Amino acid sequence: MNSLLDLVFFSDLQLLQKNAKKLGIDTYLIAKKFSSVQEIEELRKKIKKTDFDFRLIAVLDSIDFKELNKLNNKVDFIAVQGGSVELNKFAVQRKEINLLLNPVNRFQPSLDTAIARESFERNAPFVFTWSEFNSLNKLQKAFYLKNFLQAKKLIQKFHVNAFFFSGARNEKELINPKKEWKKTVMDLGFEKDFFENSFEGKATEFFVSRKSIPSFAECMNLLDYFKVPKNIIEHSLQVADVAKLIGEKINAKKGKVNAEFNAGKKGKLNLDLIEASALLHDLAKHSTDLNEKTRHHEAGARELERIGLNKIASIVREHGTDEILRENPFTSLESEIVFYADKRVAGSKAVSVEERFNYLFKRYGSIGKEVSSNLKKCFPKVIELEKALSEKAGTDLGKERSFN
Amino acid sequence: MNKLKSKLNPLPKSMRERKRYLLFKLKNSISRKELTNKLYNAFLNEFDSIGFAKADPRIIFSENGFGLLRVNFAFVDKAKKLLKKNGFELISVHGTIKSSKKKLIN
Repeated sequence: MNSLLDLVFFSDLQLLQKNAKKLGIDTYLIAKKFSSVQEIEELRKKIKKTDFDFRLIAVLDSIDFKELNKLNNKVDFIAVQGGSVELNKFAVQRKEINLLLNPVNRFQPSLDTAIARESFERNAPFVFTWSEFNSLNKLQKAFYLKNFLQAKKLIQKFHVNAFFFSGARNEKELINPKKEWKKTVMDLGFEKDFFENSFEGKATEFFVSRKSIPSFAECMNLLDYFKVPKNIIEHSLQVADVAKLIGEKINAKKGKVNAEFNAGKKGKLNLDLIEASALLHDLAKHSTDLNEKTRHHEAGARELERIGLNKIASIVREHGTDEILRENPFTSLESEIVFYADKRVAGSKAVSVEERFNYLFKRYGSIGKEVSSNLKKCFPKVIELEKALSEKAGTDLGKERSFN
Repeated sequence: MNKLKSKLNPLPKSMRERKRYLLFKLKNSISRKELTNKLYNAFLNEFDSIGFAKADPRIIFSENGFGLLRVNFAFVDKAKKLLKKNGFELISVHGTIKSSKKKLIN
């Protein structure tokens, strides 16, 4: 579903909500330089009391790694107020940074092919604000647009996402960004499709959908989009059934299962996350060779990160068989479950761990000594994992054969 | 921790705009600043901000009664008209600064 978004630099929620109806805005992105984590939490409490869709963006205006670490995971997005070459480079080189605000200035070019390429690869779009542009006089605008034209070439060549918002700093500057930016963006030579996507479509996908978990239907669409073969889809469907059932059993037991991983938070497992991760875990299986060097789980994770499904990406990354040999291989219980479920399904049938490993030995054992010796090391670890999950679920998972 | 370099990679040639250099005569003695203001305002009035950005005019030098204006390839004819309108006599159009300086020396 497409919705109209706008980014603003102030946080008067009542005012924003009042104007949203007038201007046809569905989601406000509040971008601010927060002084402390407490300020973020207070603003979140106020947002919860409203029934409007607000998202929080923490803005950095200098290269500050401490601040970046402090803000990580505290806000919905982290942005850098760009304009200079150093800040633009900083923004696109850090995984934690999601957006580059106003990368263009009126003095000299501040973007090059390297920055544009990194922006595309890390999916860190450029955001241009009307307030920044409109505050300039005619000649200053001309120089700004001159640099903007160079940015436009880079955006088009490297398929960088670019969004255009109001950047309002007060009530007077609140506008419908689509109407205001339309003439300028079209005169600069951007295509109509690009223009439409900058306000809806891609913008919704990036800011609104990105943090949510795709539904079953959306996962199936993704599998179709990535041209995953039928046999892999059938395997993924069975893995999803197994994983979901294990998750339900653990939730039913209502143990303090997440305390270990989530710093004392009590809570049920996220079954939607488990299902989506299981469905998408072999997304890149068909496009990687039966070669020990190519890691299909890493490739799949990268594709998912590119489209903003970071939570699912980290679970997919951890499902590779020999990941269990690492110290602390799993970052969540959901990840453990998906890993185990994958080791309980051969083809599209639920089997025991032993049968699954026999299948893996047959398929991959001939590649090389290292692969077969790794598989041998993994088997006892998977059995250990099975025991741990059985304890949490309150049932011997090893004896389960039908997971329907 | 690596210091982030403040240098940009040069744009590849395929992404650069084609430029032309217009060599013109200055009628009266005029400072570079005045000349820049006059021509920039002339371009702005004629084309508005977006047109100015696309034309990308710049005074390369103005000395000894001569000036060199750089514009984008597509705006050469319009730039010639503007120079004439503002009282400057166009001498020649060149593809490089070197060739325009050669013309000046000759």
